[in-house]
Amino acid sequence: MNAEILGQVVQNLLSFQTIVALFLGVFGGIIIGALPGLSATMAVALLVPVTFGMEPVAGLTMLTAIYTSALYGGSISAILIHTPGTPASAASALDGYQMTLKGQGAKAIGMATVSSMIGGTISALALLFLAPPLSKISLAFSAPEYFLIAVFGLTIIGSLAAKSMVKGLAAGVIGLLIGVIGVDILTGYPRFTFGSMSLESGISLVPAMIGLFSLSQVMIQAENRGKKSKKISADAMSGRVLPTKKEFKSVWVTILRSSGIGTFVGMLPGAGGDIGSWVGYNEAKRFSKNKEKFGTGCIEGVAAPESANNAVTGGALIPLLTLGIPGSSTTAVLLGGLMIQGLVPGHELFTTHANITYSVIFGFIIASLLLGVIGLLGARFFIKISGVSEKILAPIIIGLCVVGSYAINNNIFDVWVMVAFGLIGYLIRKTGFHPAPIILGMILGPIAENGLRQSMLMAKTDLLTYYFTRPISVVLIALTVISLFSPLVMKWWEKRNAGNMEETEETKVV
Amino acid sequence: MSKNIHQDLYVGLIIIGVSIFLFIKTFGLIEEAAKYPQALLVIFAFFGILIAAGGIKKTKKIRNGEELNYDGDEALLNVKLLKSPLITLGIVIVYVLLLTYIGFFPATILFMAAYLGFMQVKSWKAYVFTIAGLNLFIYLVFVMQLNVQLPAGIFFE
Repeated sequence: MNAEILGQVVQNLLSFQTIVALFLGVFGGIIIGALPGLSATMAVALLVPVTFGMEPVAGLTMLTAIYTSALYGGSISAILIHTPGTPASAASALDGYQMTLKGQGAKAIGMATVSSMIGGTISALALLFLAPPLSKISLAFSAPEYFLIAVFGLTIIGSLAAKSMVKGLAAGVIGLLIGVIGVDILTGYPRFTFGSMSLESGISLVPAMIGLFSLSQVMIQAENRGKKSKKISADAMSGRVLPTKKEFKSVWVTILRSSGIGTFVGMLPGAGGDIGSWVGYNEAKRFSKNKEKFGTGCIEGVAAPESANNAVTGGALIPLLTLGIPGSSTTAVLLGGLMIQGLVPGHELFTTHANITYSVIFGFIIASLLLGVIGLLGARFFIKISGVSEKILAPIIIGLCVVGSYAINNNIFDVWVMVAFGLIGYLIRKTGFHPAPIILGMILGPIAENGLRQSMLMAKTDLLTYYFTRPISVVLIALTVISLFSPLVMKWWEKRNAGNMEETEETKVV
Repeated sequence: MSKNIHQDLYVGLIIIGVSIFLFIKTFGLIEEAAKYPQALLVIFAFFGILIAAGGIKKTKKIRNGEELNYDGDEALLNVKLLKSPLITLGIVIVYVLLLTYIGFFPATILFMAAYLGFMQVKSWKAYVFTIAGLNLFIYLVFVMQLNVQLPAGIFFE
């Protein structure tokens, strides 16, 4: 990055639209994360249409700000009502809720805020320094590698997003098949359009994303109709929010360690905030002098998972921006947001579009810091918000789903696409599939097909031999095979966590 | 769905059925355009077979009296579970149909009132603030800021 780009970055970040986007992103992200049942992925999917009409810097900064803030917001309901707002906050619920029961809810929220801010900022700095050199790898890519990177991306998210690997991979193929719908660019033949003119340009990504993640979520929440939701007790937030100097001194090493762990876990394709926070929690316990206090309302038990899950965000953006491999379902949706702005991951992001990319990265650093400030100042307000009933939220989300799908092309057909994908999303989620591989399949489908067809032309003889004579292709094939076995490693982690949780329960009984 | 048959068996069979149907549809395409979707459909059918096989295993477990665990959002689909989500979907369909005819904002107001009623919200304040708040937000962001031409409908055309 040179002085000229730095000047443009400063100019971009000081624009009114970007400043508003940053504040709205952080504020909105915390609120969405704090509401039980609403995830960062859903928030990003719902807001992509809003960013579509914005300047790329403002739009993408808002999406990344929502991503990191929603992960922090999830800890509010996890700590106060033992209901994680996002899966990544589940580890924080262990000690956070115990602190609330002891009347230290405010302290727990304060520590979660500071830890999230530090974790997010460290990972954002890692993104700034690691992404540009790593993006050079993409320069060595040609058609065969683009095909393999698409396959690799799908196998990692497919094998990790769903409990069943077969279902995860099948969901990826569903996405690839949806990507086939429309006129074939190379031959001009319409495929799977069934005579519909509207389908000739293919299925729009944004309405599909909104349906799969947002409408399906409302349908899942509708299952609880008539049931009472958990309420925050009046004295849950008594006391001081900001941690004392002594408290901070006792956890800063844990925060730094967990931030490093989170950033590393985030960089591993497929491992999201939930894994990061559990690894951070377990390592904090392993290194702690007060192991026995974990699970009983220990402040370290809040600091570790919170710094780790926010650190995952910057880490997960590294493979996304450099190679186009999303590390989690939220980054899969973010990839969609990036592409509708006409930005393709890879080296070009750091050369041709450097002023946009660096502005977004610096915006992400500011968002991580802003999260701490807004989080601490507005803690009591966000807590009240997290108590808003699902009954009220559901029609608001549906209204936003409809207007968001319509706004992309001013087309009612897209709203029907959203409704159809909402039903598909609901049914697949209830039958053990995950929507993230579908979205990724839709995004990577055309890249995979073009890569495959071009490499068939380039190969001239046997395609497989051709692939195995290209070193990067061999590496990508090896990585794909490894990613297929990674669920076994995850299962091992889960077993280890289960063991630790049992230990914690025993400690509590004692 | 029969209680004695695990839903994965149905899911697997549906995937196989869809794969065959779409594979037949590719016969009308030229070879170059058909190759890639055909390859995908073969893989999809293969996954369908694996899921169906898993469904058979789970069915055997159910019949042996073993309890099966459902993780995350996954659940045993039945009429009781599907009732509210499908009514929600029905209300959304009516909403989308209406917005073409009576316009976006009138349809949104009607939809929100109907849906809040369906969700058993009783406070009139919740109705007023939710409906007014969302419509105002959409107007300010989408109409004023993003210049989206929302369907005007018969009242405003």
